[in-house]
Amino acid sequence: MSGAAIALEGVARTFPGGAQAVRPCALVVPQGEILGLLGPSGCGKTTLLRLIAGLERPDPGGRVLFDGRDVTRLPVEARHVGMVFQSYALFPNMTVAGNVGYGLRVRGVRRAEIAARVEEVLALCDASALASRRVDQLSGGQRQRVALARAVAVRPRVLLLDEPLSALDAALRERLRDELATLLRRFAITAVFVTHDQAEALAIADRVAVMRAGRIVQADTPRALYAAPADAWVARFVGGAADLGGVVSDGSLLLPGGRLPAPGPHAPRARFLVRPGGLDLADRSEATLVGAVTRATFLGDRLRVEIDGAAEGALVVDAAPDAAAAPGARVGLRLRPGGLIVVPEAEEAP
Amino acid sequence: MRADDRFTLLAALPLAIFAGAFLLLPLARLIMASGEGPSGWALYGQVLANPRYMRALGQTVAVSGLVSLAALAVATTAALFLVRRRFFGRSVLIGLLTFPLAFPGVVVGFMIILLGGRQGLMNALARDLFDARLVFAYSMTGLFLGYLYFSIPRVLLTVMAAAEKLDPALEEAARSLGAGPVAVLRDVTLPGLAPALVASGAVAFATAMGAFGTAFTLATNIDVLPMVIYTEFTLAANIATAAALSVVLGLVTWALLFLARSFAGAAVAAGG
Repeated sequence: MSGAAIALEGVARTFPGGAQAVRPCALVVPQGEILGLLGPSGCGKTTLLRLIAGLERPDPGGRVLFDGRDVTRLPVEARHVGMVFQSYALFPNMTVAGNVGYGLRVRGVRRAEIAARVEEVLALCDASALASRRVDQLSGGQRQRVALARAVAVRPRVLLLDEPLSALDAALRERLRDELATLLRRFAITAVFVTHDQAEALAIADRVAVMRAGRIVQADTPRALYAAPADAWVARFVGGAADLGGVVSDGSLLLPGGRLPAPGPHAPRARFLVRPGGLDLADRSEATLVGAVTRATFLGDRLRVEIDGAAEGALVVDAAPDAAAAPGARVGLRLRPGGLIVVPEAEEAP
Repeated sequence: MRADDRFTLLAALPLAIFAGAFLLLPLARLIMASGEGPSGWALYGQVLANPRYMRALGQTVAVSGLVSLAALAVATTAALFLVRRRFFGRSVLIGLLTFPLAFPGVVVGFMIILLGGRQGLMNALARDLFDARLVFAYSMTGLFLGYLYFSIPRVLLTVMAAAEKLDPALEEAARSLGAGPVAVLRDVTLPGLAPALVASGAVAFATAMGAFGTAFTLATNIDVLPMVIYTEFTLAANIATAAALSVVLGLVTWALLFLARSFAGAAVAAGG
């Protein structure tokens, strides 16, 4: 494991009172990788990040290793990590430069050296102009950049970010998401960030670990995660896939509204899902699957059509914006290439 | 004039009447009275040159200042503990700590005598254990303890309210940057609490400067300025001197608080 920047071995966290926020889990983050911890709220992703940081102690038996060295017993101030908090937690009694230089100041670095490093890091984060500002004079996006600069100024071994974009409004979030991805790569540092937003995780991370109920259920590259989800829950959570139900017979999936091609071989208890982009509306004469439109929502670049009666549950299909699909109409459906997701039937924890 | 403007003015009327009748008028009368003695306004010069008065003023300022600092130290540590730890009996403890708010100075003085007087608990213990004498109730030490006793709850409640509003992520951020407990306290916690510390410290100081009941209960010869004023006024019937001393006490308290506030304000602004 000495090549890994971060390695977790059997790390779990039970809170006083008995709630187990993180179940025993293993995770390896190679040097220089940007890992996203993705999951719904309450899945334990922030607790896992705090365990890596040293803000929480794992239950006995768990080990946290940085570069192969056991740091389990080290508190956060001795772990040499850089941390970006959800609220950014900038010190209101210091200027931007004071904030960025703080980690160096408490380490006893000489003034001139601090000033030079602060200037360098602020330039790296495109925030040089903010150096003498007070924290309350910064916009949300500026705060995020200063928090990032403060965390990397001490040249940490790993950078940890807790929901770094959630404090921003939606319009800003998308722009800063790409900016953050660029900055993290510019730092060339091992980074772990927590998010509940799958688009954020897929856009920023080299690899995404999906968490559910205290467990890491799948850790993969964004493409692999999207193309081959480990189970139905991951497929639903990442990309909003819907269960089709049905039974397989003769290379076809038989559904209430017809059939879809499903060439085997399949595991005996496989499950079939489809994302909104996996199906397309088709002429009823060519379609093998038919359903009734219950709602059609115009989203500008596409028409989101909800369809009943085709599969066992409701289906959502992203059609071309000019498609004809009025509520009540019966429409034909066609599978797009690679649209069908097949996952093994797995027991789902509550 | 628009109707709602008129209403706003009307709403200020009760305060204006109160301030005029019960604040400004007596204050003006007090200042006038200080100039109506045989030596007129030259009395202020005599008062300021009187070594006994000045010693009393110095002692009042000293004991009030020490009480404020001690109350801040005790209450801040207690507040940080009480805000961060949840334990059995916590609310009872908070209730107990704020109990002295309900006591008048006389009762506080009485309790100090029960503790440190000639028949007090401490003296009895010292006599039985070490065959020594331990009496401190009738001195500045007793007064200091009494004032501290009723200053702590005022400071504690204010600082607790402020400590609860501190963002815990700020301290975690400082720790993640390598700051130890002392650095976190110095750079994050105390600057965050500074406004509450200044405000509650000022209240403690002003209260101690003017407190009378405790001193009066402990001993009639403790030289703090409120006691001197009382003696001049009731025993010597020296109304002009008592009035002049009152004005001096008020001005000195106000000036010291003003200095403390602007100093603390500058320190908060320049912090970091």
